[in-house]
Amino acid sequence: MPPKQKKQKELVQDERLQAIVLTDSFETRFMPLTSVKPRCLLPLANVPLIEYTLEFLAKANVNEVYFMCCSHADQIQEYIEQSKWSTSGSPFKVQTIMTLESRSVGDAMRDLDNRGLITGDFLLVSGDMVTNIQFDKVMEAHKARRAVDKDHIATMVLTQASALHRTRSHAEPAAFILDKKNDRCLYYQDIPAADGKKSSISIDPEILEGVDEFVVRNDLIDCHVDICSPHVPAIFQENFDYQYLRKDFVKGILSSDILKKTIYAYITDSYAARVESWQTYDAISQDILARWAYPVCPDSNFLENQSYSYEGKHVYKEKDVILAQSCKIGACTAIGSNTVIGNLTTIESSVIGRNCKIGNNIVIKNSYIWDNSVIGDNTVLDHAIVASNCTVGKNVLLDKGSVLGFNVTVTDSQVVPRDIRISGKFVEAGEPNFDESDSNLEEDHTVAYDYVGENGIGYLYESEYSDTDDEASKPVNSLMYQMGALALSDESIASTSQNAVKHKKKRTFSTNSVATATDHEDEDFEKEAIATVVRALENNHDLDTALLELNTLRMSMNVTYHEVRHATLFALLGRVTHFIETGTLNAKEATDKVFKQWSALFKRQVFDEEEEVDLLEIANKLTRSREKGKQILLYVISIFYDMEIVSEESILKWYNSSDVDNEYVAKFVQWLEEAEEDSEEESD
Amino acid sequence: MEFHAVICCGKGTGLSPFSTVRESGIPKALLPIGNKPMIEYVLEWCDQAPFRAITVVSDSESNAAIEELLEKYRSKRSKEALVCPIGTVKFDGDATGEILEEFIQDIENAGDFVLLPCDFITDLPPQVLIEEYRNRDDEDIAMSVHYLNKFDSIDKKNLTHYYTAYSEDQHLLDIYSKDSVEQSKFLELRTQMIWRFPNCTVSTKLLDSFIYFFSQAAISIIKKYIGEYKNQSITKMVRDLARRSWRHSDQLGGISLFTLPKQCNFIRADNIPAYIESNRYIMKLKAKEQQQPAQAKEKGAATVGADSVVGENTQLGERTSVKKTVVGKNCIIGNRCRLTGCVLLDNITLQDDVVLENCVIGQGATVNSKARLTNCNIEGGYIVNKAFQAKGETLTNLFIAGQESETDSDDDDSEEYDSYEDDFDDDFEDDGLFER
Repeated sequence: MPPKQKKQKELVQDERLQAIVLTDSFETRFMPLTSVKPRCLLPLANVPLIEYTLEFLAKANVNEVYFMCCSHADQIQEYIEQSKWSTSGSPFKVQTIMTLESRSVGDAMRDLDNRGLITGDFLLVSGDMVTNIQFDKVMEAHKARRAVDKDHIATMVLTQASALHRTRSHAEPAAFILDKKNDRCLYYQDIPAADGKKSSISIDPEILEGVDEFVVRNDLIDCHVDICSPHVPAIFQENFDYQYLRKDFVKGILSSDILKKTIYAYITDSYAARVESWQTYDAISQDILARWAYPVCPDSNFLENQSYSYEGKHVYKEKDVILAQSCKIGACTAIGSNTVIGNLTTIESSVIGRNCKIGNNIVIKNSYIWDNSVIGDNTVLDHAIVASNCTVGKNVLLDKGSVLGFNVTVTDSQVVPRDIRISGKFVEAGEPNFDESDSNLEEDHTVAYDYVGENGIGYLYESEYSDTDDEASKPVNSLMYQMGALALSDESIASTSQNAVKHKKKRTFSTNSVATATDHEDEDFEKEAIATVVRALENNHDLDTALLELNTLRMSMNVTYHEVRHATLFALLGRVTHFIETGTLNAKEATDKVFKQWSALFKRQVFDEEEEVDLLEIANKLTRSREKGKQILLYVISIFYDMEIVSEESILKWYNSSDVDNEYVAKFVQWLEEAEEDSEEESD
Repeated sequence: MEFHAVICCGKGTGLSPFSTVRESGIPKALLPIGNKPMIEYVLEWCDQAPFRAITVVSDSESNAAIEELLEKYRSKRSKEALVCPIGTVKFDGDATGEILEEFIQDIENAGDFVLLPCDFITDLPPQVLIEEYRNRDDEDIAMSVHYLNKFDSIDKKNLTHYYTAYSEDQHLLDIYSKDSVEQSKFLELRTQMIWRFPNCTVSTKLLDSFIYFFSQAAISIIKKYIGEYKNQSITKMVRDLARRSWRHSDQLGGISLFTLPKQCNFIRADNIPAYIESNRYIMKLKAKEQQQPAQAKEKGAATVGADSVVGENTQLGERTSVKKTVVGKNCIIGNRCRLTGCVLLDNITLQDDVVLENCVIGQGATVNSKARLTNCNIEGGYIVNKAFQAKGETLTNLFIAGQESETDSDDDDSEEYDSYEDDFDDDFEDDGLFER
């Protein structure tokens, strides 16, 4: 009977397991190195990162692997085609998908959906993780839960660690809120780092309905291994503003009333971590060397031509390593073949690639030297990274957290200070790493002579984080970043907002003073109003709903429109800053995106000229201390002007009455005045 | 013997209209469970320990009545056993936080003390709690006792008041009241807490037993800040003590959390369904104990189930059946009445053919013939009309039924008391408490 046969065939087809590997992280944390090579091809313990993912997939009995390639797609394609995974002995079929336009995980997922490759539940992994998870158990758990809960669309594999575990990324800490009974994920929230600042996770009690007990986990390593149902790409397609897998997708699913889909967590004790910052790069390298991730370790020789052998005390050596008699190789060290190490040199907790020439009397501590580099005599490397084909002269100091990109030359007796990154060719900060950056090589960017010396080659890479005021963001991505004792300090009172101080005073000095009581009310209003607007922004409420909520709040708290404007503007600007800080959009795009959509809110908050002036003044004050505040202010004002929220007259009035120290706005005002004159002339 | 027990007798807001919240009511501590004032169960439980001393805290209105009861209780106590002195303290504040202020001076150097509610019944011996407290971590300064509701008939709505956050190693971290969460529309978990205790559980089913053990260290901290708690509840004070464990850079001693084992029964008669349930629980125990063969009874006489109790001087009419019901003293029950799962306080008159199911009838109330009530609460002194039928209603006196009122009550009914679960102002800012 032919029909029956067909049916069987279909069943067989359904059982093949597909894996989608996101080769791009859509982040810039490994700049400037990622301007030359994609993150997943950077070597970790002398093996390109993607190999760890592929080994995992091979063990997981995956049948088909698709690589979503974006930045440096050609390099990845070439690598895959030439690797053992493309040979006939490969356990799975590999295919690279060029999705060059993608700018986020969300874009890649939408592209995936468009291509219609997905046939069943698939495994979604990023190309930069290291794990020894037993995948069959995860799949079993996924299927068991699927049988019980048909709305189950994704299982996230999470590893148990501690809050400040070294392999846990400190760059994007996040808490998972899970049902204690079955590990159903109820909520996901990225949280601020443990810096003693007061903040909170706000959970809508509706989400918690029917849940007796839930756990709040801030001790899980999220290595982005997910089993997803075919619904997942489709949901990305429907919600075209989803960018991130966790922040947007998971949170969106969980807080959506309409979708009614569920996501579960699978918590494992196995090793799993993602190389997503220098800090985790360091931690994972050390873990591999110390065999925590067994069987993932150098002597597993993932690459066909590798010949590492284990020599006790976690020292690994390939064939043809030439060690001088008096050199000292400490614990947790791996050295690639044809590398020469000179007399009296000390190496510990470090990885050195192939064909390196390490001179005499050098100290290498906790550092990573990739292939073909030359290190001169008497040099000291401490927590440093030296990429391939670098030349480091004699008596050089590479201080903690310093990074030398590909093809950098540092001449004799130079000092590369802490957290300085140097690249072989000029790379502009903030440029997304998924751009081919050859075009950025311009003549007027001078070589960083201060660091590399007169005859050196290298350009200073200015991380987009380095010039922000936000101290926390800078060390997060340093190799040296180590979380000290939990700084839940009492000093934090000093750093909390003025409101907090006010409030504290109220508590201690007076209990029933009328004046302070109103203060308190304002503060409540502000907090709530900001929360309302932020919610509206995040969940994309429609304008009317947001307006209604704000209005109700205003009336119930009996505050003036001034406060409403202040709170609204504060929240909107916060959103803009968020976009800028995360590097998703530049100042203009971010301001356009937020204000073009939401400025209409002010139409119901601003009624006469006086209030328009007031609005502008609030904007002026609020942007003053922000990063790129001057530009933002200009964009905001021009949007207000275009949308006729403020009139020309009010802008001029405001500009003349208030002290505006902003050259952009000055130009704008000048233009306005001229335009006015023009029109007057015309009318004359 | 190292503990000083403090029994707090509340107003009984949850037990309205039978408590002194209403004029016709009687003090909560004296409301009978199985025809015995509820506080006696607590006193008996304390005497199992025994404690160093017991102090009963009540408002001045109820004080006299409680004194009277204590007098009786003292004489009932066995003479040989070690017994501790029982004292009373009058307290007329609005919030429980003030209770401690009354006598914190006296207990300051006297050792640990334990705070008890006046409304719990349990088969768990106090030694279990005391041992648990003694075995706490050295740095812990207090212990808070929680329980899970085991009685299905008590509606969840009447119980769940809190989100209780606790750590993996059973320490209380934070408490949020459901009301405040509903008000602010969000449950706000502090990230500070999540960093210090990265794997914590938040429960909605854990119930606060209002049993707290405080160490000397806790007392001296409380003493320092007692002024702050003038208008706050003890629960809030405990919450602030619990927050100490994560809101400071040095880890300060926290509060250990003990959840009562599943095997034991624990019930707090602080709302009406729980009050009915606790009566049934006592009846069940009694029925188990007696196990006596059914006596041959006269024909036509009233039947009283083994799981029921009828008080002194109460007359039961012919062919009346009483099941799972407690009938108080000096009641007159007419013929052919059917009482199932009810609690009748003292001096109640039921005329013929009354059918009551799951009702609580206050003192001196009258139910005229052929009335049929299900799940109703009848305030003391209320007169139910003939053949009246109702389901799930609370019938209260609209006007002051002076002559009917049997209570030794007072004229001051205007005082609006906050319940013990008074609202938390879930403020975010560090309120400067407990800092060092």
